[in-house]
Amino acid sequence: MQTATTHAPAHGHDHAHAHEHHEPGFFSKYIFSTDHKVIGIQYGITSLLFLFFGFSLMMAMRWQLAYPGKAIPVVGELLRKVLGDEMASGGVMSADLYNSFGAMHGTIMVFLAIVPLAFGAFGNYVTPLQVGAPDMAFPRLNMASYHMYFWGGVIMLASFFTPGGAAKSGWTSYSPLATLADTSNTINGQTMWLLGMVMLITSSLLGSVNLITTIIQLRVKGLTWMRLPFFTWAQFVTSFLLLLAFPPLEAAGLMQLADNLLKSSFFLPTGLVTSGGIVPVSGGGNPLLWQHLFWFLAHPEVYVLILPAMGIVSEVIANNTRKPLWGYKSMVYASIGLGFVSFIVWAHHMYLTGMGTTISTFFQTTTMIISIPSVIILTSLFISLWGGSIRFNTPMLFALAFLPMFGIGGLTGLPLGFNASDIFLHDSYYVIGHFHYVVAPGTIFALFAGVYFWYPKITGRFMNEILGKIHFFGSFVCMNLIFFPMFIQGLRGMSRRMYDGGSTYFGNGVDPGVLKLNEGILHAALALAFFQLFFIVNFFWSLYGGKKAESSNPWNATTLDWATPTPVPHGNFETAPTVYRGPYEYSVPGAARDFIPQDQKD
Amino acid sequence: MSDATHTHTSETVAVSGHHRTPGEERKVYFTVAVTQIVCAVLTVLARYWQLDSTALTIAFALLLPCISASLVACYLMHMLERKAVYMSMALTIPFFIAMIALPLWSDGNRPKGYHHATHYVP
Amino acid sequence: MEIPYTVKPRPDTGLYNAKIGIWLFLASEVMLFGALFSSYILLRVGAPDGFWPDVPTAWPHGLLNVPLGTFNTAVLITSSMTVMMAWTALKENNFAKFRKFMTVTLLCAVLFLCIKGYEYNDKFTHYVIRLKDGSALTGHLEINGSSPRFWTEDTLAAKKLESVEVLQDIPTVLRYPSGFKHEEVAHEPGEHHIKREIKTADIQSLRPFVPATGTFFAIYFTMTFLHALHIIGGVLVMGYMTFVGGGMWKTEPERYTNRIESVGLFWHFVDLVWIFLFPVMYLL
Repeated sequence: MQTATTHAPAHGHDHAHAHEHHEPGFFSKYIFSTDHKVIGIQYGITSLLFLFFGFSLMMAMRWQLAYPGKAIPVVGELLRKVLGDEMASGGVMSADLYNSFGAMHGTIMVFLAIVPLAFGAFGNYVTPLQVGAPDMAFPRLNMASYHMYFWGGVIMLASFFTPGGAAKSGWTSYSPLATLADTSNTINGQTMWLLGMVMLITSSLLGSVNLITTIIQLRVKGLTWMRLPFFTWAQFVTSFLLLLAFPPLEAAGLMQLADNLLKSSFFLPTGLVTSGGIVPVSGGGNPLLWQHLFWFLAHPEVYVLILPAMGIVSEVIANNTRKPLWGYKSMVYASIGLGFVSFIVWAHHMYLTGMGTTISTFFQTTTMIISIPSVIILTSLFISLWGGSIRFNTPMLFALAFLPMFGIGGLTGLPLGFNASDIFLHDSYYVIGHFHYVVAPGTIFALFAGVYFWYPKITGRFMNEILGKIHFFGSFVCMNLIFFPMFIQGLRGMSRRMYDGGSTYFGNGVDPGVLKLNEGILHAALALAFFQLFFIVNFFWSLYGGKKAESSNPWNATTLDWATPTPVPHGNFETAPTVYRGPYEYSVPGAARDFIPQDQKD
Repeated sequence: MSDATHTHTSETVAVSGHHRTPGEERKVYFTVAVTQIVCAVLTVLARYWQLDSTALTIAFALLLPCISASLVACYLMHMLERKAVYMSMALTIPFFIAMIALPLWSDGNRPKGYHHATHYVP
Repeated sequence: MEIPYTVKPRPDTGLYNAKIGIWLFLASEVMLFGALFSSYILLRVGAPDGFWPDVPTAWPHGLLNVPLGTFNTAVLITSSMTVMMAWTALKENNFAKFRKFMTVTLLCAVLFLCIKGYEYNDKFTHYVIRLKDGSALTGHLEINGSSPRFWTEDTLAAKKLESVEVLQDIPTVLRYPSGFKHEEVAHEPGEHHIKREIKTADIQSLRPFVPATGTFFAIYFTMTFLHALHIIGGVLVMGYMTFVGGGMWKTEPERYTNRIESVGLFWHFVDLVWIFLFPVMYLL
């Protein structure tokens, strides 16, 4: 195999390969590549772009919430030009546009940004390296998976320009609203949303089959299940969640598509009345069926968002405390348990639908049970810090911040797991605060940690520490300024579905003192955007100007992903490594160095 | 899914582990197919027996297909031969059951005075 | 480094990569069809008591052609058997025999699709007619010796027809546990339809048997269409492998055999889905 420096021309016919090597052109190297690393980077860049786009949608919405009915500076005029007068006349966001942005913010963030970044990018790039594989088990399927994702994303973006605008029934697309929101256009934003989702679901199906097969089949000699790094375990469980939870949403999506295009009534009940009178459909459908099928996916999806994040944080923490993970085995078992239980908690999203007491007791119980494995993992990570000689570099700072942020997100979820308290909190900003604490300063911080951590492996250069620290501290403060006030607003009863910021909800100009917080949240969001500039600059500048990684294992890590040359060549390893030990042998008493790589023989 | 502490000397494991000749295999497949067709015909006939109980009618209409399906899984798909295969299928079963049972349970368990979700009464 | 176990099985799992891949894919397919079966149950449980079409949202019974369905089941079972026989022929190094069995498999699959298409067409020409006096009946329209598809009461108005000829169905006398009670339509023994002339002015609504007509039709078409898509996919892949991609048998016989085994697994799954779809849709 070629080495790091002689990237292309040196290799050729000097080794006996079954297939021919030739220098690939631009398209086969960067666009239609079957190399898991290139696909991982494709996923990474595309999903970071979507992450930024989803964030921009939200900033426009926050302006509308803070200053209802006032034109958005600069961007408002742009929106009017791009989307037309009926959407943003005079640069003021219309109610329809607000709904569209809300629905698309959720969809883009969950399905096009965070899952592809956590599972598509890190799962693709790092997992095969950690199991010592030359590539994914099915490289061409892997390419197909990325292209499905890409075109799914394009369909979602194109939906902004369909007549009537993009989907506007929330990222949950509850029927019958989703079917009836825009009946004047046959092909409307919702239709595009469903088509896009079918593409994304197929993409994640291909990805998860591939990753599970890779982990089961391509583990190198000596890499037993209990020697797998926790990151790989997390990706393994995540893949199963994607594999088994997504198909029901695909089924539901097909049924909603039939409701929209063939005028069937899967989710439309008999006698449904809208402003235009009785809806002319056959009826007999069940709106709650959509919610069941949707949440059957979407609750495991929460763990799809959080498990890879926990995996990344575990790697970073073990490496930067120079200590083995505390309770590695219990973390593994906890993540498996998490995977199982996550499938039977979904209806806690549906307490408001008039659920019976027995079934609601069942779901409250399972919801409380699922907090146990999450707490086991989080506690293990906290205890892992104890007595370590911690290196406070940028990836470690993000990983450390993940712990309390995810903790706040998790603990504020408990009142939502109980029927009695959930009924008061469910439609309020409290839920927004809770969920975003889990995903924004939780998962996204972990993903940033991963970017800073694996950057030297991917590019051969470190990202700049000073810019990284400004990025971290700025983001950390702003995230909390954005999401903490939402708990206060929610507890005061501010509805989460009001496009004027909640003033109609309180009515008669009575403000319990929480509407003003919207302005603060907007300014914190703008500041957060400002601090992301440091990341963007750092990300590109470090490609050429970053400090060179002097070895292929610059963090002195133990797992197999650091046993490859840097940058990682096609085929990853020069020869298949053999594993002799567990994944986190740091500071072993009596050892020559404070870490022993997994492939080092005694 | 056993641990990977394997040695590469055991490469001689047969691809599908069955010890019948292809001719004998074909006989098995033929027998399975005939049994399946008999099952299908019996299912149809059983439907015309005019049972009085809904539960019995449903049970009868699903029992024979279940037998038929198990034959396919065991003899045609060789599902039970490999641990990784039957473990991943076994893993799917609880989720499948949850998928079927919990919405149904939830649908049946409603507070008094609630109309059924399929019939909206203003 | 090359990707290992693409052809030879990994010793500890006993599987080559594609085999575990296809099983995982089938696991997700189980959940896909599971969700649809779950929807079927929920929609059916939610349907009000009573006899369709008198009660418009009640669950219809006996609208599908049971003998044809049974025959189709047998066709699919046969194809599932022959695909395995083709695979064993490859194990015997007998490519000609393999091709013969594969051809039978493909013919069965195409026959299944043709019969399904015939059944679909029959549904598109089958109508439920609600009269202004409150009664309802089902049957095929007969206009100039042919039966039109997808008509509604608006079509009748647009075509300015004064009356239509209907071949009214005689409901199958099959007792349903939910309490089968229906006025018998007077007919001669052995007769399946009664020809009847209905004035357009008496017709409240005319609906073909399509998804928009009721949740039974919606779930029936969704599930059988999704199943038919799987069959079409299987036909394309198996046809390609047998008649176009057969060259691989000469260069990499073991890999070719594995591919046939994998597509065979998929084909059995398609068979399995139908084994449950048939009683659920046609008999219950």
